[in-house]
Amino acid sequence: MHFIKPESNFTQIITLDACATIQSNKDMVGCNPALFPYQKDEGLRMGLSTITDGDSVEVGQKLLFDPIKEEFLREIFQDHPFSSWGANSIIQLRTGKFYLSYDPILVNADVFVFNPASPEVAMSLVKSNRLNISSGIEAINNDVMQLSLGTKVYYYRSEYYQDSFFLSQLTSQDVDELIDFKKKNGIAGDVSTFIQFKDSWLPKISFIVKNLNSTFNNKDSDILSENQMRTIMIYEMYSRAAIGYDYKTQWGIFNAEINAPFSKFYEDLYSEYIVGSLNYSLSRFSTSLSYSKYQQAFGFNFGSKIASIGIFYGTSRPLGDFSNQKENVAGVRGEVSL
Amino acid sequence: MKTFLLIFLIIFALPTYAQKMTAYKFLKQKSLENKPEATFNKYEDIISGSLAFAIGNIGYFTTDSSTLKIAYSGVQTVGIIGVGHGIYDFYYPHFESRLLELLSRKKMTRGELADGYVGLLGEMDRAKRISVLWSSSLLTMQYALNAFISKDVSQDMKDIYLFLGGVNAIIATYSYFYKSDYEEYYTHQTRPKVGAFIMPGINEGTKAGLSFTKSW
Repeated sequence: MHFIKPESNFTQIITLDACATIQSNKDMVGCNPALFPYQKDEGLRMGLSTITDGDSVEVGQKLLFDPIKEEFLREIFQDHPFSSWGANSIIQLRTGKFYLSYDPILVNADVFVFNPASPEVAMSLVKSNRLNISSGIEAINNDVMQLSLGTKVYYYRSEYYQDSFFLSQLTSQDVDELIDFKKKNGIAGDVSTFIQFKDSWLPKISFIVKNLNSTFNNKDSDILSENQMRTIMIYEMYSRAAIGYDYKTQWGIFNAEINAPFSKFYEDLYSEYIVGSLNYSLSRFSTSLSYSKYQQAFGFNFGSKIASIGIFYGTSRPLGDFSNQKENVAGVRGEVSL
Repeated sequence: MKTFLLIFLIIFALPTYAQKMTAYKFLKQKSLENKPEATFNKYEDIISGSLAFAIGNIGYFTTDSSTLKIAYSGVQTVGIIGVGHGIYDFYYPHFESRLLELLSRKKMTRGELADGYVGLLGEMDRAKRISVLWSSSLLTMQYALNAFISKDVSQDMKDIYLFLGGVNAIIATYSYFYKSDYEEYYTHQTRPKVGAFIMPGINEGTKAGLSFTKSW
């Protein structure tokens, strides 16, 4: 579970992805490519999101960008058995027909040190970059409903390490040998649909299938295993179904959404990761609040024509029922438009 | 010769006439296209800017984290710029539709056309100046507060805030004193005229009066 995911825009971070039916905010294509026909912004944008505050920030950054040292892992084990960190950056060209974007840096780090008798380290470190193209069309627009379809296709190159080792192995083996990054690249994509009815009593509906054809997959045995760390709902194929309502007043618009994720193509419902989100926006100001069993977030974003800045706070139990450890984080997302 | 003249007219004069019609139509269409539309209400930018300004200040003066402090001062700045933008939109005359209105008036003298056009340019300059004046004055105040009131701000950050505050103070002073010629003319025209008169009455006593004229 991470707050920051590939190509994530601000609303996506603070609603924990429960933003597939929000039409009113700017920059919603990251949430749901099927919202593309309803977006009007064009131009070039650069953005950076990162977790800036929290117990794990330093640990995550060191693991990803510095050589991993034995003393360092021992230190982590003593004061903070679980740590995670994430960041992404993006350069995006928006046109009326498609969005083209490049994520030069996209990183997620999770490390869990367990078993005091003979300390063992389970790690998931993923560094990747991506080239994305997103677009969408409005397929139906009649007196009853509007239906739009969207897609995102991306080329990715990832370096990752997802395995575990004993701390004692570090004394006999070189860190580089032990933590051997593997490489994966390929083409994958998302497809989605968005439906809204003219009768405002009926909810807006969205279905998204993410990371089709991705070579990352999470085996049940890995997810359940104590000595394996896996990020979920980031790199592997999964799907989402959402219903949402909005209420527009003269003083701003309110959006509410419930979003349910499923494994693979709507196979098993991840009932513990169902998210509810509330969003309010007025002109270029927006704020959201979201809640799921293990993760809660709150944040606000303010944009002008040339720049936008958002700050978010979140709390999570990253290992779910597996551990009671809580993580409090704060993060920033900044964007500049040219 | 007559036929020749007719052909000449068809070839050259008619397209020019048609072009004039198209330019007018084009302006009409542009005016509709570019008409500023408030999604919620006409104060939305000012309200949302003030919200960000308020949140930015609460956050800035309460957070202990130095990174978040910088982010919050970003929110303050963007908020103030938003307020400035809202003020600009509030004062800015929509150029195309106002020009169109001016052109579509019938029986207008040259003087009236000039009055309308110069007034429009004056209003535009005034909108720009007032919004810059507001946002840079607020920014000067904000950066000064950030530098002096807040505790645990590093000396480097203090210097940066003071520099930014100084730059904005210069911009604010400049925009307070410098008015473009068009604006000068426009404000001079619309300044209220106050007059008083006293005159001897025809039969007895005197008459006195006070007049106040203001044109919008």
